[in-house]
Amino acid sequence: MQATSSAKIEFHDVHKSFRRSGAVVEALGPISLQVRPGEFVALLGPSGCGKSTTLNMTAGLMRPSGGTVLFDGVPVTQVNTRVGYLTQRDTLLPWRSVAGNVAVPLEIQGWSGARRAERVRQALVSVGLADFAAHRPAELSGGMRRRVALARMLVSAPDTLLMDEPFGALDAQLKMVMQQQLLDVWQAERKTVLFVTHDLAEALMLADRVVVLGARPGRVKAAFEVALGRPRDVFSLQFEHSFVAMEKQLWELMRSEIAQGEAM
Amino acid sequence: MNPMRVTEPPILVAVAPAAAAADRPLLRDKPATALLCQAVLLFGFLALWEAASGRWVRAFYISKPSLIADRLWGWLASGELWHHLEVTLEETVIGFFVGALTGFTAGLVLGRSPFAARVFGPFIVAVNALPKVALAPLFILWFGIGLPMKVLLAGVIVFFLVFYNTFTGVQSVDDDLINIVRTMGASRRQVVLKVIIPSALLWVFTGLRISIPYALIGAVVGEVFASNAGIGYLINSSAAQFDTAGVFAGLAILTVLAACFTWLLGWIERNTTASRST
Repeated sequence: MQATSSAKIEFHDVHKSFRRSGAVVEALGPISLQVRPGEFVALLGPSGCGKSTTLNMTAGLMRPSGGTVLFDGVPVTQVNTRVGYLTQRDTLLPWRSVAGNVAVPLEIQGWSGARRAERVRQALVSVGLADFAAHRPAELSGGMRRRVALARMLVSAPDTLLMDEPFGALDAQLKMVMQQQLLDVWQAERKTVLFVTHDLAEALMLADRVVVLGARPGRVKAAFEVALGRPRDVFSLQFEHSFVAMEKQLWELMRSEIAQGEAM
Repeated sequence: MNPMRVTEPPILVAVAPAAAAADRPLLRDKPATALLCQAVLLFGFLALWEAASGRWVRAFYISKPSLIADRLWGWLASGELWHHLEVTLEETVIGFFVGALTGFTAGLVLGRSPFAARVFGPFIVAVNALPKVALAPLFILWFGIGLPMKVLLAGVIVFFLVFYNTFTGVQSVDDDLINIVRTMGASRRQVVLKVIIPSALLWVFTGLRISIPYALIGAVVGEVFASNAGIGYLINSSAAQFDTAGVFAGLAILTVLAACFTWLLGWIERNTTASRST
């Protein structure tokens, strides 16, 4: 099984069910999925189709009810510390300053004080928050908090990023700024990314490949190779004919799924 | 859902300081007038007391302010007061720290272990439902009438207050925060130190704050039960000698002591809220 491929992340017939007030609810799958090293894959699907569950299982925070999840060819059986995880909800520590939050992964890895401070400073500069190092998360806007979370995820240089609708709560302009920032990071470091979203344009904008999940229990309905060049510029890309045509094509693919999801 | 979430008096008590703070500006409006009214009220009451004693009510029951002042002065002059005050304070403070430390530790451990919480839950609820004061005779059997028995009585009361607050605080820690820190490679110890304790700290502080006056209650009740020193002893031994003035004098000292604790509490409250908002 391990020898079959050199995939970074692999799902083999993975399914997940939850027990809710006695009844068993099928949340996901069974799905099979492969993400190559350095590949940017977007998981696109309606709400409640188990997209977040997929990330949680990759991070080792959840066990599959059946099937296997492999990371670098090895089954994920405990918390996967080689991933950086950006959750949908805010998970900054509210009692710590911005710099204190970004420092957490480095503290855990045992970096010395001076090196740590320097690295945190760089990380904050890279997301444009150098002037806010001493602020508390509660004093920042939603967009700034997202950038702090992004900086915290990147500071320890994980080789794989798991992102769960990270820009979902932001306004349209800010969203594009953040998307561009992410693309720049990816372009420079070529990390493996598994990016969950329900925003079709966002999926196309960012990913090499869009995997469409159906309504609950989520199954892979289609995989869509995004034939757009790199590096990309989200601001001009949105008006390009090739992009618009692709968006339309993907819409058609998803339409039936969305209708089904709404009906539930 | 959780067997241990049956009684949570700390939460109710925790709301009180905010209401008190809202009252403060009203008093501050005319502090001089209010102070004058208070002085008139106090002295009027004392004068009425003095006049009524022996005239309308037997002095044996209510004594009189002049006699009480006399008694207080006697204790003060002989140095007796300081000795008893010191004993009561010592019991209160040690009892507070013993109860706080054990309560915090137990709350942390049980809050993090659903299994332990399930196993110990019913027992803790049962023991907590017991009026702790009723344990005094048992503690006297075990430790005699010295300091350990009062420390234990105060400590048991403080334990439960701090325990429940810590337990609730630890349980209400956001699991997402814990998970994200775990993906960063945090060990169990690091999760406890970096996420759980800081997150629960506000709850713990509330528990510590509200248990300060309870520590005093525990110590004094212990003294009233059996002792040879302390303010509670002063009150009890005065009553045993039908010395009403002595009883009132003891109560006056306790009132001042409790007021000092309340003031200390307010000071801590103000300072913790200040550090929270920065």
